[in-house]
Amino acid sequence: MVDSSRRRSVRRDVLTNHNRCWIWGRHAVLATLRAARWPIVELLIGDRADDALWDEAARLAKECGVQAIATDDGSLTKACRSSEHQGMAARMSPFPYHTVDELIATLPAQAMLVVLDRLQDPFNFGAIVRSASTLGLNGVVIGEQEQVDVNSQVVRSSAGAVNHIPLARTHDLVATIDALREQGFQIVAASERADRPLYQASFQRPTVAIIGNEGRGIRPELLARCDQSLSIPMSGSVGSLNAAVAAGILFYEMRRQRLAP
Amino acid sequence: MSLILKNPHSVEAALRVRPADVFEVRLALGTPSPRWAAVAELARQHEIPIRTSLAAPERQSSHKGKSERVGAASATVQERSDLLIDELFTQEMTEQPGLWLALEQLQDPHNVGAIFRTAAFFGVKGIILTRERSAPLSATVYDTASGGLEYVPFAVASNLSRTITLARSAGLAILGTSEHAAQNLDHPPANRSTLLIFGNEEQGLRRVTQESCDELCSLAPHGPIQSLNVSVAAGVLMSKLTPAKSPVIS
Repeated sequence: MVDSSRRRSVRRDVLTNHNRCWIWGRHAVLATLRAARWPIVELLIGDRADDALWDEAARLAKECGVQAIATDDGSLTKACRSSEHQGMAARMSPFPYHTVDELIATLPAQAMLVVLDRLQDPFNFGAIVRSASTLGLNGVVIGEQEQVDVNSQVVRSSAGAVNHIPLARTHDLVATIDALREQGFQIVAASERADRPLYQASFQRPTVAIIGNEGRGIRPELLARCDQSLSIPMSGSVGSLNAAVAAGILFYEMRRQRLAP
Repeated sequence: MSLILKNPHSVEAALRVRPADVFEVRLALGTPSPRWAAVAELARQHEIPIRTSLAAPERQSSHKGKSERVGAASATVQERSDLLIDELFTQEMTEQPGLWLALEQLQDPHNVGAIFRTAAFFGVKGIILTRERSAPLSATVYDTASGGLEYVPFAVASNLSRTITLARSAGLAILGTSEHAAQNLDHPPANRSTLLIFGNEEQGLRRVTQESCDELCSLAPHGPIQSLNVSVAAGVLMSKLTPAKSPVIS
């Protein structure tokens, strides 16, 4: 049981934006409970949950030291302000980002990282985290400004991967890039305007890939620090790639080269 | 039926491809963004009514991503009409090797839109969508596709059996995708035309569809248990299967 002073301090930390401090949906909540990394303040389970789900949720909640509270669907909808909760919602404390130093300390040799510069779309952020995790990257670094935070939508579009791949946040991405270069990383930018095709790059060295904002791309100070800018060769005649799709194609090539005999 | 599009890129593409189907462009009060200014200029050239809303922009208080694209500006655009399946596999269409996609019961409009956007980029020749239990081609799909709906021809079918028959007789290889397939596509055969089929986000391909494929390939090649988002996996596979790709140097 949490004593009252502790509870107050936890409450103060809860993000004020309603949308941000709740996550909902069966998969998202269960994945977060199972990973037991992101502290849950309050767990609500609706009355449509069957016994098996209830038992599992209650057991996981107990392991995390939170109480599962039974409620009805209407109250759940009210709490998370979405009707798509599938009978489960959890109020979260702020996401436990690593610092960049912590992330660097955990990295294996020949690591691969992705740095996101001001990503604004939660679908893109979640999908990139999911691809990074699936394709074996070792971490994701984001900045603080103009960057979408981990929220319910991000958890969902990441298919729970925010719990599995280390996520670091820094107030200074430029300094982070400099620090990573000193650690021996090559820095590559994914850019539509680059004339070097992705498939001419080598990813055998430790690599940091930078993905830029959906509309404006990578900011100039970061771009100037890249060893090379790479583009994905277009075989049609119109259009552009969505940031998450471009990131997926890039990560896939990085991983493919690492696994190539 | 007409749609209200809010992404200036999807409106601009519609204006370029079929201006007669754009009924009206509405701008917010004040200076429009450069993108919307370009849309307004195109609309002016085609003598399409442009209205400026005097009301304060409608607040999108509720959900859900895409918020940076949701401004006060919008346009009313007629839905694009689909083709017959046969029209996607005519002799003229299949003369040169290329890639076609079939989406079986894809339910998330963002996935469908993202696949159209990527398909335009990689020059996919046609997309076949299923009608039942599939995301309808809503304004969300058009806006997520960011113009892709205008450039990639599509057809809607009740199921994929006729599509597969037509594609096969036009000489295409039928390639299904599955989480459980082992094959990856690092070295796809060159100069082959392919119909690549994606299944529902949760259930994957229907069994009858899977059985009529020539080959199955993996959605998250090299990945562990957890797979890629279907629109990302589709992007990776399209980048592998479209012809103009530069040779891989490793």
